[in-house]
Amino acid sequence: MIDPHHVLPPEDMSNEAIVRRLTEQANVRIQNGQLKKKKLVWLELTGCSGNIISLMNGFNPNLEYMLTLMVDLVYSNSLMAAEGEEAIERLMSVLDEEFILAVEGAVATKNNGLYNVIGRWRGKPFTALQAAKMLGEKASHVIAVGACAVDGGPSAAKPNLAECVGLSDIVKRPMIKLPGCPCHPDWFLGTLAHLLMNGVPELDNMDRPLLFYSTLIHDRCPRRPFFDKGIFAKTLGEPTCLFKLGCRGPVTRVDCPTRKWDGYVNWPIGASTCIGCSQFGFPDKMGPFISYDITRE
Amino acid sequence: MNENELELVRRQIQLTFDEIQYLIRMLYSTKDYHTKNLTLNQLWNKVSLLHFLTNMLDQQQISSTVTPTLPQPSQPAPPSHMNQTTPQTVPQNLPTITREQLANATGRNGNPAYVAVGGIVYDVTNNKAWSAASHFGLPAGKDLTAEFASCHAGQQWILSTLKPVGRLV
Amino acid sequence: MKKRVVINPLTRISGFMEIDVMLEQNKIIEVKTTGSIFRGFEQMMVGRSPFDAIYLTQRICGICSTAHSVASSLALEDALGVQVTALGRYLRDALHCCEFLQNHIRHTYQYTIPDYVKLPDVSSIFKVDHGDFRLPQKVNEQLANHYFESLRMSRLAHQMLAVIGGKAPHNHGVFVGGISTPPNADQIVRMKSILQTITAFIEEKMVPDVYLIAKYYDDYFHMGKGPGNLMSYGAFDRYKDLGTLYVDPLV
Repeated sequence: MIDPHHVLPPEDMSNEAIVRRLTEQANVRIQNGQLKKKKLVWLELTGCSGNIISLMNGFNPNLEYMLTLMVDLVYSNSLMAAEGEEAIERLMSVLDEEFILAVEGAVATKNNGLYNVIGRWRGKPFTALQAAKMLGEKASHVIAVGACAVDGGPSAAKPNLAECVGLSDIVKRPMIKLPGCPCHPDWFLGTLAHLLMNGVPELDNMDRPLLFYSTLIHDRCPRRPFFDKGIFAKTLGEPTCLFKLGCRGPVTRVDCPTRKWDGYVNWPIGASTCIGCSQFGFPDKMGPFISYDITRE
Repeated sequence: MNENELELVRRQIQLTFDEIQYLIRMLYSTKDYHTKNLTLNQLWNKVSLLHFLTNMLDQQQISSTVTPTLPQPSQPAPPSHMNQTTPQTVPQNLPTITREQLANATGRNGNPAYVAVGGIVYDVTNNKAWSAASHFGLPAGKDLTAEFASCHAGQQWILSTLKPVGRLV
Repeated sequence: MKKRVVINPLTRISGFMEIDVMLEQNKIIEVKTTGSIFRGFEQMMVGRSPFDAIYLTQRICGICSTAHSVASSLALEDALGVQVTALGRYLRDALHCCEFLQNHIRHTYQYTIPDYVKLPDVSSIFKVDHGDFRLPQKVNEQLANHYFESLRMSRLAHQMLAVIGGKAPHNHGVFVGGISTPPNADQIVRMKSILQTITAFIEEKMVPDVYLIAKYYDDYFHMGKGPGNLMSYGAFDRYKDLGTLYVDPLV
């Protein structure tokens, strides 16, 4: 079997290839009975439910692959056939078993969590706050997926009326953080595959897997030569460096430029400025996203 | 130094920064004790070289007129034990800059982008962490001493990568 | 005898909703729906750079994010007095269409079909204790296959969006005046090629599937009819050369 970390040419060394190898390896072990299909709970809390949409956009591996071969998905508000009390009962049933918890969305804390009710349990509103605490404590591993779950993200943008916070403010335990708005499907599925095969991947001091979050966008940006020569775009659509328009690539750490999105066809800087959606503090600390008065003379 | 020699020094600085970044990445990826030690040693050497080069440039700038900054090279995060070791080498005879002048240096409408920390005014016009003259929600043209102290405590080295342009009065 | 039925979560939507129904002798006498999430996006816009709205409002909803960027850019054009060129409008609407395709495919298959089709026992997510399943086994099987096939199609629709929009969901392409970066021939032909695949799926599978379900559930047409007052803002309408392609406002 090929170790995904130590492959030699002519093996493909691209990011997709590494993710593919990790997932294939996990699958082989599942089929050999070395691994039991673990249960996965995907909680949508206070956010746009865009991370599950992004997960559906995964190419290799894709959602079909994850559902049928990687894990047994028990709960997902966007996908599950059951609804109402039946759905919440399914969610509660995993508490006695081993499961991995993936959370997207922040946790609304105002009025005891009533700003986000995710279901009804025993006749009472079941809040995002309750769900985060209850499942967060019992899960074998917790993955915070997307900007909102990591540190509040857009849900916690000023003035933050719902008093949203990141998952780690509510659930005090080690967790893997996958910032991004949304989280790239490969970042989640690659992390999940690593978790299934080799346990928790190596994390940086902010709990992000080094596998995906170790390079600065700026250092891999195809527009970088323009920055080094001091050639700056004055409008969007110019092929030069977008630094003066407010591009946050220089402070954002993730493999976006080399991985790219949606079947690897393009990425934000291919269209406009980077808005730092994978950086802590997004969106308040990453704005303004686009400024025109910097280059005005 | 003439302009060519200056350019050479600047290029050398850029190269050293790149090498430092590479070494730091190496530190992350290796588990081998000996490689780690070797890498750390190399890092120390590179940092002293950088110190030497920036001093050389600073001395040069005292005698020359202020030129616009080149884009700043990448700032690497230093190993933790390095934090205390960089004494500030701010040139002594910087021009004075008033609070009004600082307030105008917002980076907007053709103005340069200045920020003040600890009484020294720095030019961040082309600093890569200051896209559109703002940095993690903070605008240029302000005295950010308190913000620097709260966000970059123990990271005085960051200041040595910035170009000082005046003293705040 | 009154009976109350509460459904929460109403799954397979993008977001959170509760349905609270009061029944009397098997007739619905009162219904309340509650959207149970509040973040306050309107207040988030106060004091922010206006252009940020195009990107930040997309975060309202993951499945229809492009619509929010289009609405924001229309509002900004109105405020700034920007006249959009015909080309700018076509390009932005093309991008928006990609989102429509993605959204409609996922709504049809991932959000709606599980109410009518028993999905295979490959994941706990497809288990359901009760339901009104009427399709013959063969038809059921065929539609279940299309459920999985559709995942590839909606993915392709988002890929088509990303070709000029940078990424999806939450694109970077929509902007005041149309789109941020004009596409080149390579990108246009790539989108056209993807579109061909999606069109074939919609025409050969998705539309017939909807008719098929309608045939087995024709009594549903007479249940839960609303007052019939519908409002439209218009979409993909009143082009200079092409006229209205989708729907006019105020229908």
